[in-house]
Amino acid sequence: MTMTCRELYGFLDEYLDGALDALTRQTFEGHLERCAACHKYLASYRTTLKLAHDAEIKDDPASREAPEDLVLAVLHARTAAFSRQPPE
Amino acid sequence: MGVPPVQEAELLTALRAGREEAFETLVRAHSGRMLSVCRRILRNDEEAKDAVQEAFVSAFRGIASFEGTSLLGTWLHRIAVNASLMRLRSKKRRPEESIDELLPTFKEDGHARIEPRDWSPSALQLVESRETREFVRGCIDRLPEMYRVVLLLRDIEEMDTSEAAEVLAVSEGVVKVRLHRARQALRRLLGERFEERPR
Repeated sequence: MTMTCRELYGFLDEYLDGALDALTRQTFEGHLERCAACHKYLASYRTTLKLAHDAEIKDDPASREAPEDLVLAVLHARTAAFSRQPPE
Repeated sequence: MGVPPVQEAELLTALRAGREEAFETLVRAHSGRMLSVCRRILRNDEEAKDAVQEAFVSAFRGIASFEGTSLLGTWLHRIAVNASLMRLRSKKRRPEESIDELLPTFKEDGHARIEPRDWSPSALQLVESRETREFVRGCIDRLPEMYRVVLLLRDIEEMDTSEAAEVLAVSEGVVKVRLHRARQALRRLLGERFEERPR
């Protein structure tokens, strides 16, 4: 069984998720061993995912304190919402 | 910041009993993370704060039906995503480029037309700088909305395919296709900083 570069690109996500069946995975990895271009594409594809994650998370960590104005606004919104309508 | 598991059950009991201090504890524990989520999806601080408010009001209304099969933080995260997506759908859409131009193209023999380069080493070094991370976020924002959102939900918010499909009201197959295209397009945009040459 063989695989073209185009076909390999189509299996990238399943490969990274470990979701390929044994035969397809073997064919995928066999192609990677012979094809430097696909090897490079996979490496930079993986890096793309890491860059996206770092770019979105590092400058806006979820662990930070909630802004006080937001906390007060939410509590006020609750009071306003439930003074008009009782909770279900 | 979340709530320790032992205290979570007590907090849930207090919330269901309608105790005021429990609502404040919940908001203080989770609104920072929810704001981050909403800001990533909406890319606007004020709108993100409004979405967090809307999410909490939805959560307060639904607390009686919360079954406790997931952590409160997980449940709130999902509600925050939904509130952000609702706002996003109501916004006027910006003109979008087609994603097709950013996807790989192939020759008849199945080889890629653009010879890929592995720019990982330099990119991984550069991502330590805030300026590079801003560039990466700018590239994510260049993706057409339906692709940007799937990328955020799957790769940043770490929803699985079925969760993303449910909040977006599309099939799992659609999520998979959009995610693959989004990742390929983003790779191409990031690669513009590095040299890629036609074969």
